[in-house]
Amino acid sequence: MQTQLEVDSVMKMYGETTILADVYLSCIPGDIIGLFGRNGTGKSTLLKIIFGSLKGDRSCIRINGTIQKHGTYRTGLLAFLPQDGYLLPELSLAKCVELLLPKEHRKDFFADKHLFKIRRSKVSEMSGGEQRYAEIKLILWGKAPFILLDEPFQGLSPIVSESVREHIKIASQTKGIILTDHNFREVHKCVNRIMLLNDCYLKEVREPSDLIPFGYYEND
Amino acid sequence: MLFLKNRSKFHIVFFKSRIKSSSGIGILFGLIAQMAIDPEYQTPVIQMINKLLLFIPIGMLFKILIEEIDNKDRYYFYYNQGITKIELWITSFIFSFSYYFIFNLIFTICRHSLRLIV
Repeated sequence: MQTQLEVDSVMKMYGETTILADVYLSCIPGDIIGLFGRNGTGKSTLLKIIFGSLKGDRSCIRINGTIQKHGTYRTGLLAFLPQDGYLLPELSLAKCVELLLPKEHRKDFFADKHLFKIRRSKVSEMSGGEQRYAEIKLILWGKAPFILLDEPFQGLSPIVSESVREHIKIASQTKGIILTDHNFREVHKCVNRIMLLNDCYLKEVREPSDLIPFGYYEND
Repeated sequence: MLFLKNRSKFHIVFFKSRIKSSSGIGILFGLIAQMAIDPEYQTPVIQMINKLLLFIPIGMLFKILIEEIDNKDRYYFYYNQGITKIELWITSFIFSFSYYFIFNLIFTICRHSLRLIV
């Protein structure tokens, strides 16, 4: 059976307000899906529901055809980069890498000009950009075949953003990636599928120009 | 076996990162309880320390409760390894009770040894 993540019939309400209604999404290795939408449209909520850290009012998540009933993340087939980071501040980067990556990948992981000099620093001592970059790289180098990235380009310099795009492209050869970021120009440079969350519904956008009515590229 | 070994590393990290502060909270609670029970400080010191150690697992409970109210999103490091927070809580309690039993055993041995020497 083909490796596939399917998200079906997702519905989420906060009080009386419907955030997500009948959302369907499928992702296979090779996909880099950019999730677009204005603030508060439910992009992060959708990622958390897919990951299983937030319960939808209704949702059906299937991985390789198997319905996931109790927190998708428990399968170890999904990894999630939350907006606020996930590394433990009290640990050093080297310790995090030791915990998260197999031995044979650790040396290659640190053969990186952005990370080598900070390998012994504690996560709490790293700058926001350094921490973000390390987190993204660790997630992408992990073993999960599906990756969810919430605001990966937040706080990154253009040079580091370029490295992140490279890592995303390499990882997508074997993984399916769903990402959302308000920096839509950065996202456009690396995605091969675009989805728009608008008025609670998710729809696939064929051309970037189709996003213009929704406020993207207005000033170009 | 390898699966368990890999997961246990994360459980130990979770426990280690909380044991200092939860011990502090627990001992504070223990002292307050001790002061309420024995305001004239007549309990022998060794016995008092032994009682205080019992409060370490209680401190762990409070620490986790405080974290749960303060910031629920600090578990993604573990979620990404497929570990739930319930699993982490359970192992932390088991570890902190083991911690208590080990120290309790050491104190008991010391007390008996002292009696024998005296």
